[in-house]
Amino acid sequence: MTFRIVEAGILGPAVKQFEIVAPRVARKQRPGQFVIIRVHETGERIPLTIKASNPIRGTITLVVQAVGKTTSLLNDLGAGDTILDVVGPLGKPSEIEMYGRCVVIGGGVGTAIALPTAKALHDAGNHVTAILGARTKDLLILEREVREASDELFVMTDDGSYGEKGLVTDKLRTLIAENAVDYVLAIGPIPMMRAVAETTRAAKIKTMVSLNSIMVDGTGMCGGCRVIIGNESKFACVDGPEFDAHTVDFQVLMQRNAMYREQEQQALASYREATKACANA
Amino acid sequence: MPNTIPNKQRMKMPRQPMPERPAVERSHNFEEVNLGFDFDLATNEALRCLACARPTCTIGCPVAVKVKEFVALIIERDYLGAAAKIREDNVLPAITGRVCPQEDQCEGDCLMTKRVESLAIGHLERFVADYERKTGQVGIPKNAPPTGKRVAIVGSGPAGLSAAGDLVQKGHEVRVFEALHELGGVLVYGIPEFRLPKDIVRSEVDVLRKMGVQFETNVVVGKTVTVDELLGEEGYDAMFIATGAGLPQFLGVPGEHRNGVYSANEFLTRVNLMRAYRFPDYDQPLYDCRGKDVVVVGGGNTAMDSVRTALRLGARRATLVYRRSEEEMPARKEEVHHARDEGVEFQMLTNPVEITGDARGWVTGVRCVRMELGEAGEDGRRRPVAIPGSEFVIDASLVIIAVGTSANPLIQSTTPDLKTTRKNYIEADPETLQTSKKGVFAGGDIVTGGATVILAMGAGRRAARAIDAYLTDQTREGELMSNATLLLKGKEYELPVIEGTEGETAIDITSLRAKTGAITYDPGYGNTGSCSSAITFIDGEKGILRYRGYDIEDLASNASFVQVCYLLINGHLPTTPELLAFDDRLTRHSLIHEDMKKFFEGFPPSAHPMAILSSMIASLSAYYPNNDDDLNIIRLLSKAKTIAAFSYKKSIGQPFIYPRNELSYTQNFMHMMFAVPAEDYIVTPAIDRALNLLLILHADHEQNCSTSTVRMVASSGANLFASISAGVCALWGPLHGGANQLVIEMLQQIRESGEGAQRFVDRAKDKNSGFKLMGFGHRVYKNFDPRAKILKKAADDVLSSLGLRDPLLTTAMELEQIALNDPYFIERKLYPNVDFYSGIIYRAMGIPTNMFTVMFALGRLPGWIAQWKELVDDDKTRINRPRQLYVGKTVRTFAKAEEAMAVTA
Repeated sequence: MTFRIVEAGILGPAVKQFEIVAPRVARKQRPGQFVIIRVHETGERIPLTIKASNPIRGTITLVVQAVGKTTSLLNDLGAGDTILDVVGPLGKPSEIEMYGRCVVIGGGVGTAIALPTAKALHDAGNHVTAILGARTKDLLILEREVREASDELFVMTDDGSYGEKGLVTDKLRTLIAENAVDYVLAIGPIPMMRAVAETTRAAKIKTMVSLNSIMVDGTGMCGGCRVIIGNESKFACVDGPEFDAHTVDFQVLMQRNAMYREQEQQALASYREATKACANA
Repeated sequence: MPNTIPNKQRMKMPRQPMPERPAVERSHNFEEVNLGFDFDLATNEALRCLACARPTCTIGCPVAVKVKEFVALIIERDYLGAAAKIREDNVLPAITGRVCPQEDQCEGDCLMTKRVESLAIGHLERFVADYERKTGQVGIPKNAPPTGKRVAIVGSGPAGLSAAGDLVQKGHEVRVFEALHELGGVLVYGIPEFRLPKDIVRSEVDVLRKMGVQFETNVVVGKTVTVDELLGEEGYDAMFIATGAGLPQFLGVPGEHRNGVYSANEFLTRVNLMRAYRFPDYDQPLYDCRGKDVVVVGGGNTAMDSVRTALRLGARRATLVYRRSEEEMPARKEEVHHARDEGVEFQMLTNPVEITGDARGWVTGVRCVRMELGEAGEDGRRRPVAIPGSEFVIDASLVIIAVGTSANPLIQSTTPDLKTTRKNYIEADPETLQTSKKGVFAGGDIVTGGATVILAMGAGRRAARAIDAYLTDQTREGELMSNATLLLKGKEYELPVIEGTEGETAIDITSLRAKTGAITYDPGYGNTGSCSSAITFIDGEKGILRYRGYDIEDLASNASFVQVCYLLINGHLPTTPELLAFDDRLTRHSLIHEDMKKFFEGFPPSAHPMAILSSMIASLSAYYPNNDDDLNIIRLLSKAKTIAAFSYKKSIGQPFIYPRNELSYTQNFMHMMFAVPAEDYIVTPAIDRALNLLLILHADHEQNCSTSTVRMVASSGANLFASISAGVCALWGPLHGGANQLVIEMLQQIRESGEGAQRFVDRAKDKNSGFKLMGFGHRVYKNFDPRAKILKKAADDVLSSLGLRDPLLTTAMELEQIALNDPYFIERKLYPNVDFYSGIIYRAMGIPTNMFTVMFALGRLPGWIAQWKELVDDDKTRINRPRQLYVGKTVRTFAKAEEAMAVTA
């Protein structure tokens, strides 16, 4: 059985959204969970967080940013194409409770991952403030959907081309100063998540981050995704992917995520070469 | 050709050596090390067998392979027969012939072991299995006739595969669920190609597939689907959990997070399953250890596999670090011997204390300490103790930790009634492998902790035997259960008991009157199943409502009313082309015959719209008298909304508004209701969504009054339109479809009294007041009506989108708040019900109160049609003819008039 893409759309530069038929996953998915996919027979297994699922249509929605070979390959697919393997939903779902005032922060493609949790927090009766961060206006994704899933939305851009100029943590600091914040969820690049953790640490605000470590099986079998959480070794695939931001060793996470940088660059270069050759032929 | 060589002679024949690929050559590639016996080697070896009367080899085998029988067949050169003989007990001979620790099992127990060298049973097994595979003539054993029982097996490793083979032969339907994308479990992700070529695993799996075993990859049981779901919704009668070794253990020494430190599981999975050794042809990356130093920590087969793999990947130096001595190493002897030949360095009695690294986080070496063996520990093995001051560093760029695994908790954590050990392995009876959960068995590494392939296979076979016995018992119990005994006037009668898919039990009394002369007495049919139906399931206690297996919550949040119509009538959700075609037909049949418009003129303006609706639907049969049921269903679904809207227009004296084909089903209805020739009516998304919701929520509710009426009328052979028209009349009554109308009337009463909602709530609590709050609680749903929860949100959405200032709705919200917070209501579970919210939403939409039942009928239409179709399509349908208990006068004779008068006077 393969997994068919029924819809594909472009969300931004190198960012695509796919609706994929995966009925078993669609039935069980909860916000915060991910799938592991393998595109074709010689492909690698990579984790992707599920943005949404529709159990009636039997589909899940993934948002993919082309950064390496596999994600570039994925983003060259369209409706009607198939993916060889999709397994999930994996990882623990986000803990949805009545926290009170919540701030959900999405950086770059992390926005797609934060969206379902924001929606669930909002549905559970929380007051949800969303902060989206991007380098520049064109890189902002899913603004409308986040706006619908939250009570208020702030957009921060590094160059001030849209929303306010500044970092997501600038806005977060203002929000904390104005009003008590009970819960923060930050998903995005590691430096952003680390900065958010530092911003909320002193005030002891419950802060969760979703860790994108390198995985193979996604079921706890290989231990490749191990991270240091409060001096203990945890597996992001089964104990996470969400962890208390104040206990995460971001340095080790960043170092481990760089483990295959050379091979990744080599694979991407040869893929670009090959696709260019195809285009020229 | 029987073996005529005397035993004494046989003992003198040397054990035939296994031809091996030269160490120099093989240590740089992934080709299989052992080359296998040829015919001569096989025959010469087979001739050594003493064919003991009491075969200790078979006794020593976890799956009891009939060794002397298959060896005798090799001597007779019947290799296929030999393979078939092994397959009677072992479904994976090509695999076990390669990876079993024979020296501890069959060969260890061989009589010759004590005097000379044992018979090479493993090599012989491999020889016949390879012969069989190469000829392509795999002897597939015959399966027993189907039992109708279904077994789910979790994990496609050795335990799962052997259980699958045995169970499918017993006639059970077997489906194996695998978490990874490839079948074989540890056989494909753990054991390297040079020891067990993956093609062999694939062909063994193919044999099972030919035997009828079904496989599904990419299913993580515990995550993708739970044990309870497999035993419940998916209908499996028994399960075997064989998920294997779980989470890799680490040493717990500093530096284990450095880049270049792998668990053996990860290292081997990247190489074996993901073919990372063929990067960049395969995409999965792996640390490039060409020309680097590698250290592997551990002494088992996994450690051996890892260190030999590292060598093959081009490591300059590969060192094995083990804290005890070589004697204690749990690895297979052959593997240790191969590793040594290939150039692996052994650092025995050595234990790592730290993994050193550079500033960038990469590994530079392993700091170790020398050990000596001290006192025996709990397990009887001498415990290694560190020698103080003996620390030294082994340089390494890659460190692989192969010190065992701990239990993976995915299944245990989602199966609360599954008992586990202190270390979180699954508890199972050692003999039957039965767990604490009925029908669930477990075996292999998930029960025992890390062990061997053949032990797991042995567990698989024991589980298969126990599962087969369990299923046989269950069938017998089922037969006993399937009768009810009725004791009537001193005589016993057997009545069959039947069970629905959700476990409801029914006593089949169809033969009651014939057998006993008695009938059942059940006025109002509250205890009578008038039919079996596969359309709607309700569990009032748990607040469950499902159409065709889909939860109402799912449908409400994801489907349109048209999709639900299709689902109810056809039994499955439409594919996109099916939906488009269905929707198109509904659109094209929405006009009614122009002559029918005249009927409306005949009604007085005050006519109840239900009177018009029922007459018009019955009249449709006059226009479409053919028996094209399929088309008539479309006509009815489509025209009913037109009739409903026209009846409203008639009642307020406005001209009829024709349907428009560019509008959706629900939009079209609202358009016909509220547009006028002078002005269009725009349906807002919130209203459209709410109307869809309301119709979906009312679409079916199994055998209620109106639905039973439809079935009753249809059972006489009356046409679709006549049957549905009767259903409309049944719904008309205030006890059935009129409830939401009563809610609005009550709200009006509260409003007009000017006393405020709280006064009425207090009166409702006072039993003597005679006042009852309408729209709270439900006869079937004792908990919370799942539909009400959905509607509450829709009501909020509609009210906020319309920004209405209808005083009645303000009263409704007050009442809702009081009821939701008042302990009196909470304790009695008197929540606002579907009628309460639907009344409010209809009111907000501008639909007048007397149209509420019509809206209900529009929603219920697909349900009635589905039930009608189910009845008509069923060959066993008979005309409905209930009995009665006659309680009138017994026989009396007719008297002359004057006498009768005299009596009465």
